[in-house]
Amino acid sequence: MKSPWGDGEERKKELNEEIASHLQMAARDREARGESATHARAAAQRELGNAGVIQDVTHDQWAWTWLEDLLQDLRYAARTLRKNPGFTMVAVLTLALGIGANTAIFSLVNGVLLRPLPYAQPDRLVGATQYYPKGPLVVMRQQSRTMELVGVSDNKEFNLTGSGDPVRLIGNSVAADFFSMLGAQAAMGRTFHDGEDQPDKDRAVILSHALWEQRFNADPNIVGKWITLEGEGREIVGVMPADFRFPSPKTELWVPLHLDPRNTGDYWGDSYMALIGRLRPGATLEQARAELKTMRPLVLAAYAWRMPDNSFADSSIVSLEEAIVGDARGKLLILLGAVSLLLLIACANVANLLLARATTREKEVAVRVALGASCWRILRQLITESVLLSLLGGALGLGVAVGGLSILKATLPPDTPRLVDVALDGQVLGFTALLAILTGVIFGLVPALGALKVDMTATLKSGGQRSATTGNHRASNMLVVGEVAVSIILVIAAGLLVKSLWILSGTSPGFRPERVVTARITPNESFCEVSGRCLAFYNELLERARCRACGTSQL
Amino acid sequence: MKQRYQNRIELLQGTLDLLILQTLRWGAQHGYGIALAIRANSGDILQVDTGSLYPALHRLERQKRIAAEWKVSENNQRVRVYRLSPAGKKKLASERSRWAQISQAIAGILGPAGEESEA
Repeated sequence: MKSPWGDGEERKKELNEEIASHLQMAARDREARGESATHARAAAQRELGNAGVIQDVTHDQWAWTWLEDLLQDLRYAARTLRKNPGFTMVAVLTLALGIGANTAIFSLVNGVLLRPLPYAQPDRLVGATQYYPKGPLVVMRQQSRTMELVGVSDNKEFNLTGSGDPVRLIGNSVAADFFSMLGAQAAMGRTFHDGEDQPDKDRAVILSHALWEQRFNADPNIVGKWITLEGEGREIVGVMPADFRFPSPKTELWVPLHLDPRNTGDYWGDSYMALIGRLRPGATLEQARAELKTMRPLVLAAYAWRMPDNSFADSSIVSLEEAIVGDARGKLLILLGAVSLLLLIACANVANLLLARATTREKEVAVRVALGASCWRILRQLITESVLLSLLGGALGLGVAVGGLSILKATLPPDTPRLVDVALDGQVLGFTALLAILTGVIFGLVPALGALKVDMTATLKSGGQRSATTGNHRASNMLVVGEVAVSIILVIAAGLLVKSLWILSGTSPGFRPERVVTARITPNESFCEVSGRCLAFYNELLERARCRACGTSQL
Repeated sequence: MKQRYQNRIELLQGTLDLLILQTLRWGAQHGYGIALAIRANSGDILQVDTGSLYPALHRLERQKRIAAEWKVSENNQRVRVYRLSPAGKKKLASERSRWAQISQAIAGILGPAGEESEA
């Protein structure tokens, strides 16, 4: 039996030959009646008509076969499912759970691991695995032939005062060429100029889109205005687009690094930050790694004091994606593995339901075989039915996925890399559709093959009675065994997780945490620059807080 | 253009299928031969349009009422030859009786109509 699709090209060639032979025979007959060769050929052609259209129309006769069959199968499958609402509901709900969980986790994996970073040529972006102070960054930036390197501080807190209530904002200090290296443009105004990270030129700030909208009411004339951050005036030079969220989605503003070699402690010691970069044209990741090793002695030599010999020895260069995602990759893949097992269990469950039903359908299959239906045709009918079932499950599963994803996003630690990028998009929908179809084929195949092994005569003779076949029994037993095995894996894994959580929650911090409160205070950096002022401030604060406490305890 | 052919096929479908099946009852034949036979047997009245013939042949093949295979003709030419299948024979029988019924019915309406109205 030929497959209903796939051999279309072959058929077209044959059709072409068939029409050509028709033409030749017609022309030869005309020649035999005395017409000239050219005349005969032209007349035969005229009589035939438009060969191309004839071929098309003839070919269409085949094109509809499988579609018609499919529609017929689908109608029949829908009718069968409607007649068994209980079975259909249980199966669809089971599948919805399995497919929904997979869709939710896959959209996480897709957003965090698979989707490319939203910057120009993301595959050329790299990051160092260790943090470096400002001094080494400057040394390596001058030396490196393979990379354009920039520095990005971790999230820092900035006090914004003078415009409404004072607030604490999250920001990052970045090298002046940070934005140009990433290929990011400002939505309004500009990004930093070269050299804007030098002392006395670094009074600029760039706002995130969210901060601009929420705190500054989306003021269209914001660029050029001055705000007070950490007690220092800064000019707003630009606003980034809403989809620019680097290094973290929490970032609300960017300020230039303050590269001041005169401030030795800060420059060489305190200001550790992440290094990221772009490979120069032609350079490879391996070359960049090798170069980082050769630059290490130069970096250590640049220090005014002797650094330990193993300083920065473990650092390497990895792709930026790897640097960002880090160990989240493993956890996500474990999660994906767990939900795939869940889907397998769902498949096994539904397959078992189908098997149980197959015994009652043996007669139907036997009758159809007796009436001349081919095995392939019946197999296709049964598979269509299970795929329809799983597509229904998939549709419902999308609902489960939407709900599950919002719960996941709310409960996952907010520092999970790229969590904001996670969404149900076209790719995820495609994944779900594929998963649903695949699932349908998988759980439908075993029962369908079982149904075909039915002993026809026995079944037809047995009248309406059910006759369970041994083959189906064995398949059913194996499914149950597999299901139990997979379930046990999942239960043990879940148990281990819960246990480590429980142990974690039971860990004593070394004091009685009840009735202990904390508060975070962040004085402006500039305020603390004058030595002693900060210390005095904290002392006074503690003094007053104690007095308040003794006051309440006396009451 | 394509639409025009498609319409004509639908118009002729029932009868053309019947004529093809009937022609193949006398033995396997290629498309051109079928067209010639229908023309000759109808006394040159029925001209089978190639644009209807081949779609009909392939539709019948798809429905497994006829089977096709490639053979080499007496002129040493590769031709696609069609043969009646068991299902096709059954179909031919039922189509013939249906045709008999229809032509009888139509004859009944057309033929004696004048006489009846006088009676």
